This record gives sequence, C-alpha cells and structure tokens, in this order.
Amino acid sequence: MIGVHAARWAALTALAAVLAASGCGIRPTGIVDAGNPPFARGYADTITVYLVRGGMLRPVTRPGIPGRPYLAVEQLHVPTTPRERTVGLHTEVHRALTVQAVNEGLGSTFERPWPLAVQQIDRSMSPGWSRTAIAQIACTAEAVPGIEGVILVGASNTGDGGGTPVSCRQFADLLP
Amino acid sequence: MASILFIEDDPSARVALELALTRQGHGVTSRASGEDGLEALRARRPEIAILDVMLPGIDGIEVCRRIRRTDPLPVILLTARGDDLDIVLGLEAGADDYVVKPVEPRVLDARIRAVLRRADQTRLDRSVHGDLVIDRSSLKVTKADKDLRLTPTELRLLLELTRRPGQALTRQHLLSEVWEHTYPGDSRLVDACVQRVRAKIEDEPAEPRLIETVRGFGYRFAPP
Amino acid sequence: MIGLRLRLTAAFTAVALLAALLASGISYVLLRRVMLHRAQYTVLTDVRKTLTRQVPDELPPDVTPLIGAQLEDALEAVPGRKAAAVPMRLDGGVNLPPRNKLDVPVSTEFAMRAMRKLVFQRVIRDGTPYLLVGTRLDGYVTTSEEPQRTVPPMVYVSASLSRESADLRLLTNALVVADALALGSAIVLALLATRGVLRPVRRLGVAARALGDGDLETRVEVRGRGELADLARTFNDTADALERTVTELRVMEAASRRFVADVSHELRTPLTSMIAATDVLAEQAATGADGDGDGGAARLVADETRRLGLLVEHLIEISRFDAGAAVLVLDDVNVLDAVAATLAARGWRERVTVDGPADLFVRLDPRRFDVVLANLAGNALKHGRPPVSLRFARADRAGVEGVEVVVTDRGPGLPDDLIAVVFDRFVKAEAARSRSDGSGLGLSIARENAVLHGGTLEAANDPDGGAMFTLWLPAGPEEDHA
Repeated sequence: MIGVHAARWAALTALAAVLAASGCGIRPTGIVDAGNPPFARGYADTITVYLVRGGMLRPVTRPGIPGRPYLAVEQLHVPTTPRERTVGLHTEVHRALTVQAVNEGLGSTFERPWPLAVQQIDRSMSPGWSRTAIAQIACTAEAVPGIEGVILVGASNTGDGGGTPVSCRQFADLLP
Repeated sequence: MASILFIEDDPSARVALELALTRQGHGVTSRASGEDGLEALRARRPEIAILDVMLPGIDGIEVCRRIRRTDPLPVILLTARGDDLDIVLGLEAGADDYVVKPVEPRVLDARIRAVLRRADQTRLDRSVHGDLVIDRSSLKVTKADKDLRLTPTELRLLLELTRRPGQALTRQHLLSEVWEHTYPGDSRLVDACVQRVRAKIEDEPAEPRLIETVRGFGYRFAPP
Repeated sequence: MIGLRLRLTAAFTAVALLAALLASGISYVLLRRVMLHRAQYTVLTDVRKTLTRQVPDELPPDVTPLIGAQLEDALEAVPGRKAAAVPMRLDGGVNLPPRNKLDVPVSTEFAMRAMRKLVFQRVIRDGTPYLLVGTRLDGYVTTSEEPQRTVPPMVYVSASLSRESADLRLLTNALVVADALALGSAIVLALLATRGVLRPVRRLGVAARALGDGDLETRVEVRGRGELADLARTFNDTADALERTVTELRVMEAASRRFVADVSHELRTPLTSMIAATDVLAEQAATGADGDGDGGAARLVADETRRLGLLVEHLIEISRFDAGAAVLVLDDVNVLDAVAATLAARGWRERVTVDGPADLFVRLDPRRFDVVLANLAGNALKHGRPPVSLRFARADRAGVEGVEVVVTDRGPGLPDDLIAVVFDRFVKAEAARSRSDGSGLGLSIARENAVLHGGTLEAANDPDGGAMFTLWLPAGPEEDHA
C-alpha cells in the first residue's frame, strides 16, 4: 500500500515538475542556427557612369542596386574602383550628390522623359563643379532610361534655389 | 365462612386444598374443568372463585373473563408457572389477586379473606364527587344515578382512594391496605385494578380525571 | 461512509483535474511551439527573402550605407520589427549595431555566429519577448583589391513577439477557465458517480445495521457481478447462516424455557397438594387425640415438605435467571417502607436496627427487593451475632443515582476463603453442618436479583468485625422520575 502511494506521489511530482519546467509564456532561447546565410540574388540593371580619362568622358558600367534607378548619378563622387584606376579613369565629382526626378515634387508637370534634379548633399559648401564634372553629371543622368536633361540645383552662379538646366548634348565636345 | 368455587384439574391438589380450606371454615365446591365450574357458578352462587390457570378445555383465564362478563365475583388465580405472561393475562382478564403454587393453605386463606373483606362499614357517610356518588353505609356506588357493579376489591380500592381525596397513595400502600399483602408485592395488581375501576367510573377511561396517576409515586383521587 | 465518499470524490476529482491539466498543458505547449515556429519562420523567411531579393550578387563600390538603409527600410516594413545593417568586417572581427537601433542589444557572440550562419535567438527584454535574427549574405562577388567597398552588410533584425505573447496569455486564460469548469463539473460528476457507486455499499451498511438490530431476514439484492456483488452474496450467505443459528438457538432457548416452565408446573402442583395435606395432618395431629408421637411426625413431614417447596422455588428462580426469563416489575418504592415491610413480614423488626432517610423513593421491583433484603437480613441473623444493622442511603456510582443498603452483623465475619465464593450456589458457611435451614441458593438469588436491576451485591468483612454485605441498586430510569 505504501509502495503504491509512493509511486503515485512520485508520478504526480514528476508531472508537476514537467509542467513547471515547460512554464508559461515565451521563454528565451540560446543562439540557434537557422541554415546558411541567404544568397545575394537581387536583380538590378547595370548602371552606366561617365568617368574621365584625359579630359574626355568615358562611359563605364557598374552593377546596380534594385530600386535605385538613379544610383549612377549617386555613384559619381565615389572613388573609382581599382580596375577603373588601372585604365586611368577618375572622377571630377568630389562630393556626394542627391538626385530627384522633377516630376516628384518640384511642382512642374513634365512628360516622360523628364529631367533629373541634382544637387550636392552638403549644401553649406559651394559645389564648385568643373565643366567636366557637370558633363559627367548630365551624361550619366541621361544614360538612365527615361531621363532627359538635368537641373543642377545650387550651382556656383546661382545659389538662390533656382536650377540650371543642362544637357549632355551641350558637352558633345567631351564625348568620344 | 365463605362459599368458594374451586376449579382445579389435578385431583390430589383439588382434594388437598379442598380439605385444607374446609378446615379453615370455608364451604368449598370443587370442579375439575372450567365448563363444570361455570355451571356450578350459576347453580351455587359462590362468594369467591379460585381458579387454576392450567385447565383442560377452557383455561382459568378464560373462565375468569367469562365470570367477569356477568358477575362482580372476586377471583383469585392459582398459577403453577409463576410466568409473567400468565399473571399479566390473568390481571387483564379481571382477576383480583393471584397466588403461585405451591401455596400454603394459610396464605391462601388470608388472601381469600382479604379479597372478601368488605370495607369498614362503621363510618356512615356518603360522598358525592360530581355525578359519582359513593354510599359508604350501603356500599353502593352510582354514577349518574346508575348503579355500578364493582367487585369487592374494586370497591375497596375506590374507598381507600376516596377516603383521602387529593392525597397520593403509593402502590405498595394500596397493596397492603386493599389486598392485605404482608410482603412487598406485585404492583401490577394495583395497576390492573385501577384500570378496571377507571373503566367503570371515568367518563373517558383513556383520559382519567378522577383517579390520577402520580408519576414516580402512585395514584391519587382527584375530586372534580 | 462519508469518508469513503469523500475519498472517492477526491480521487475522482484529482484524476479529472490531472487529466484536464495534462491535456491543457500539452495543448498549451504544442500550441506555443506551433505559434512560435510560425512566427519565427515568418521572420526568418522575410529576412531571407528580403536579403536575397534586395542584394545583387555584385555591388557597386561604397554603397554599403545606401543598401543598408534600403534593407533596413524593407525589413522594418512590418510593425514591431527593427533592423540594423552594419558593414561586415573582413578582419575576423564584427561590427555591432549601434545601441537603441534595435529593441534588444546584440552580443558579440551572436554577431560572431551570425557571421557564419543565419541565426536567431529569443530574448526577453523588459518583459517583452523578441526574436533576434542575424545574418550575413553569401554568394556575392567582390574584388580582390579593396574588397570591403563592395561587400554587402550584415543584417540584424529584432522582431517583437508581443502579439504571440498576448495570444498565449489569452490561451492561458482560456485554459484556466476551461480547467476550472472541468474541475467544477468533475466534482459534480464525482458526487453523482460516487453516490451511484456507494449506493450498494450504503445499502449493505443499512442491511448490516438492520441485521445487527435483530432483523435476521434482512437480505440485500445481488446486482450485476464484481466485488460488490460478491460482497452482497457473502453478506446474504452470512445472514443466512446467522439466521439459521439464531433460529436454532431460539428454538433451543424456547425449549429450555418451556422445560423449566413444565418442570415447575409438574413439581408445584404435587407440592401444593403435599403442603396442603401435611398442613391438615399436622393440625389434626396437634389438636386431635390420636396419640402423642404422631403429632411430631406429622409436623416433621409438614416442615420438610415446606422446605422441599422452598428448594424447588429457589431452583426454579435460579433457572429462570439462567434462561433469561426473569423480568423486572418496577414500582416506585419508599425504601424505608419496603425495609420495614420485609422485616415485619418475617417478624425481624425487633432484631434488626434500621437507619436511613424516610423520604427516599427508588424505582425497583419490590418483590425482588424484598427477596434480597430478606436474604441479607436472614443471613446476618442466622450466621452472625446481634446487633444486626441495616443502613441505607442515597449513593451515586459512576454518575448514576442509586441507593446503597449495607447489612452488618457483629459475628465472627466471613472466613477469607469464603468471601470470594459466598455468592456461588450451594455454598454454605458451615460445610460440616448436616442440616441447613436454607437451600444454599439464597445469596445467589439475591445477587442475581441485584444484577437484574443493574446493581451490585458485594460481601466483605467489617473492619470492626462481622460480615458486611453491600447492596447497590440504580434509582431507576431517569424519565420515570419526571
């Protein structure tokens, strides 16, 4: 009889222990592996960036990023890659640019293709773009599908918020 | 001295007791069976009947019951078994007293005389308790102008109780006064006799008012 | 019966509660696992898909902050999630995301593990559970020179699990309510069920009590099979056997009683004739002129016949006690009156001094009381020396009201070897005595009478010399004094 009682109590105690151990609510875990890292398989069109070699503009392709159509313009200020440097390419744009398609908030109504508004991110400093730099900006922007013409905001001669429209065609002399 | 009807089936007991009672001065008519006895009762008109309980044919208790139906004749039961059942049945049948065999003739004689003894007749008075009238000189009891037929024992019990109205009397006192038992005796005699008297004098025998039971003591006559 | 019912109910309820708790516990655990798995799977799949879709295998240079911001935006699209993209270090070290960027801090170990695999960890912070996910990207192309410019960043995501937590709380509440309901209905069911189960047991109990109270014809219905039916059958068998035995005993007892009654009748009737006849003979002899010698002989026969009658009477009385046929005829008796009557009837009034209250009433059988008193007084007068005294008084024993009667004499007292056996049958003080007046049963009958009253009768020697008999009788049932 005592044995039966003891066994019964042992079973009950064990059950209570199990229930207590499983606990209530969400309990923390250790660090758990959940498979291999994801593969980078994003698709993006390559971008064309106009760099400079011997005063002349040279188009170069770089990989793009999904959802960044104007990445090419934003890439202008980035130091050239080692491979581009070995073929003598460099860029005349030295400060980061920000771009905005003008249909998206400048109040004007443009039909596609529309121009791209470009300005320097750091507006406290004068851009001081050289002609070559402006040519780089204009041609790189116009290489993006659906873009025709560039409006440079905060260019050296204005500074009053107005924009200076430029086009790659104006720099035909710099193109090969 | 008294004419006795003695019913006893055992011949030697009958002869011996008849002899002994005759010597005590009684006139004894003895019979061997209840049937013969009842016949003799009508023929001889005895003053008292002494009945053996165990009789062939109708037994002594039945004889007693039949006598009681018509006659206030005193009855003494003679029982050989001393069984309580016999005694209870006998008292319920209306026996005035009982003796257990073997009985000494002198004891039996004393019981006979006690049962037969009429109440003290020297006191001449007449008491009225509601519609119950007790005439001590003529020893007559009437209720609502009708004569009540009481046996001598019942009459003595009633007289004893009414002699001191309102006073409680113990059963043992009544036993020695009415039945003249010298030994402390069987209170059932008193109880049975009180029941019989109540049946005759009370309006509602089940709810007695004249003879009250005093619990833990005895009985009391309570005049209305 | 109550205890068994309570225990059965408790056991039943405990089992039901246990089952309910077990069921709800298991379902809780399972549901929690499923819920967390799904939540984790969603987050991990989101992260994996977002990274795979948003990060191309080859990156333009120096876009780490750019793509990081873009990834953070995409990963934070779901409410409750925060993401942090940090540049991957190629020197074996790790960059940790800035504090407060995520809801939970990232440990170095976690970051190290995230360098190799997609990892996650559940963390509780301020009572809220979070899922922390960390990973790098794989399968990208980079350049051998300046590789760090084109390496995709590592990503950490913290996803709040507060919704799951709230769901689990809801589930817990529901389970608690369900368990409480289960407990309640278990108790009700247990009470009903135990009543059903215990009904046969209760029936058996009632039957056993009835049997114990003397209803020997009690049987229980045997229904179905199993232990209870076996028990019922056994009970019935036992009751059968008991009834048989008791019936036999009763038959035997009735036979023995009838025998006693018959014997007494058969002995008493001839004794009646003998006593009556010898009485007549003795009187005739005493008064008649038949001769001188005959009177003595007749008297002798008469005395002996009377003694024989007494002996028979005592034997019958004793056998009635043995057969259990003796009954009390109770009356309310004044003790002093009863004592006086007993002594007066036997002519002992002058020889015994009586001392006791005059107003002491006791409920007892006056005839049997007389027998006891006569025996004690007679014994003292016969075997002791005067003065014989009889004292009585109210005396309570063990809380029971009663009366005590003490009879003492001034004789030599009882021999020591006699005290123990003085109430045994046919024990006489002077064994050598050839002739005794008594039957040798007087004290036995006295004792039996005392016991029949529920009282006691004891013999002892008075310290002052002489025998002392003490009778104690209860005053009678309480209600009779009301």
